[in-house]
Amino acid sequence: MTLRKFKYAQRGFTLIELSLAIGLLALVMIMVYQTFAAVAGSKVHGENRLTADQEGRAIMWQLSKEIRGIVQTPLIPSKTLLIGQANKMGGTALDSITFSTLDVNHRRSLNGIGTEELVAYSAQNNPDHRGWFVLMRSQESALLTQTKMGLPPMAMADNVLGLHIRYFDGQRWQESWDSRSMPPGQTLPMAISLDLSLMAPGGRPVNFSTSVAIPMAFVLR
Amino acid sequence: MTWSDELRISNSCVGSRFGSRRGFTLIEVMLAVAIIATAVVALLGLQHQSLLSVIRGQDVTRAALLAQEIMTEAELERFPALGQTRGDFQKMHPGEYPNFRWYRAVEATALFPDVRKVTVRVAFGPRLTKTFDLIEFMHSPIPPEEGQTQ
Repeated sequence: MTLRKFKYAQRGFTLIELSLAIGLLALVMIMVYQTFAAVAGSKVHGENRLTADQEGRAIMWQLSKEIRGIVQTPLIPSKTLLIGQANKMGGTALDSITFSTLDVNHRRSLNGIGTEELVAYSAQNNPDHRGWFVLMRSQESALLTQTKMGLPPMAMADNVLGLHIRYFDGQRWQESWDSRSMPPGQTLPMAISLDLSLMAPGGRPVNFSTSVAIPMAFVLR
Repeated sequence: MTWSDELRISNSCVGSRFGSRRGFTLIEVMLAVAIIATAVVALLGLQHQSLLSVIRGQDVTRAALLAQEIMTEAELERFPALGQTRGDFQKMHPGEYPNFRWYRAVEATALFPDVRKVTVRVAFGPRLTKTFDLIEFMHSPIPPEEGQTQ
C-alpha cells in the first residue's frame, strides 16, 4: 500500500539526468581515449626514431670502417680504385661510391693477410615510398674481377633521404673523385666526409655527419 | 507478515551487514579520482621520459660522429699547432646541427716532444650542457732533431 513509506523512493532517473550522465561519461571517455592515443603515438614515434638512429649508426660505422681500409699500393696487381659520383635527385645529394678495401675480409684475422674487396654503395628509388631511396651495398673480390663471385647486392636502408659524400684532396673538399685519372701515389683523397639523412617513418629526418681520414693516402704522399 | 514488512526486514538486514547505506559523498569520489589521476599522470610521465632518452641517445650518436669529424680535421693537419680552438658546424654543414659546438685543445706531452695530445670536445643539448670527449695522440711526421732525442 505504500511505496511512500520507504526511505528511498524508487522513482528512477529522468531522461534529462540520464542523458546528462551519459554525456559526461562520454566526455571523460573521450579525454581518456585521447590521452591513450597520444601515449601510443609517442611510443611509435620514439620507436621509429630509435630504428632510424640504429640504421644510421650501422651505416656510418660500416662505411667509415671500410673507408679507413681503402687500399693504395704502387704495385701493379693491386686494385687501387676509388670512384665517387655526385648525383642529385630532387635537390638533395644521393651520391654513389665504389672502392677497394682491405677491411671487409674477415679471413685476415686468421692468416694475417686479406685480399682486397671491391665495395660499392649506391642509392635507388624506393618503389613503395615516393621521395625515399634504398641504399644498396654490393661487394666482390678484387682478385676475381672477371667472374662475378660477389654476394648479391644488399639493401642497407630503405628510408634514405640523402647521402652526400665529399673528398678532401689536401686543399679543399671535392664533390666527386676518380682514382683512375689521378697521378700514381695520389690516387686517394686524404679524407672522406659523409652526410647521411634518414627518414624516421612518420617523423622528422635524422641526419648523421662525420668524416674519416684515409691512412693509406698519407703513406705514399 | 505483510509484503511491506518483509521488505523492511530485508532492508534492515542489508543495512546492518554493510554498515550504513548512504554511499560515497562527492568529496570522497573527487579525492579518489584525484589520486587515480595522479597515478596515471606519473605513468604518462614515464613515457615522456623514455621519449626524451631516445632523443638524448640520438644526440650522443651525432656528437660522437661530429667529434670524429673534428678529429679527422686535426689528423689532416698531421701535427696540429699547440693551443685551443673552437667553433660550430656551419662551415661543413650549413643550416644543420645548430645545437652543437666543438672545442679542440692541443697540448704537448711531458715525455715526448714529437707527440701531442689532441682533445676534441663536442657540446650539445639544451644550453650545450652535455658533452662528448675524444682524445687522440698524434705523432710528428718529421723526425725530431738530433739534440732532442737522447
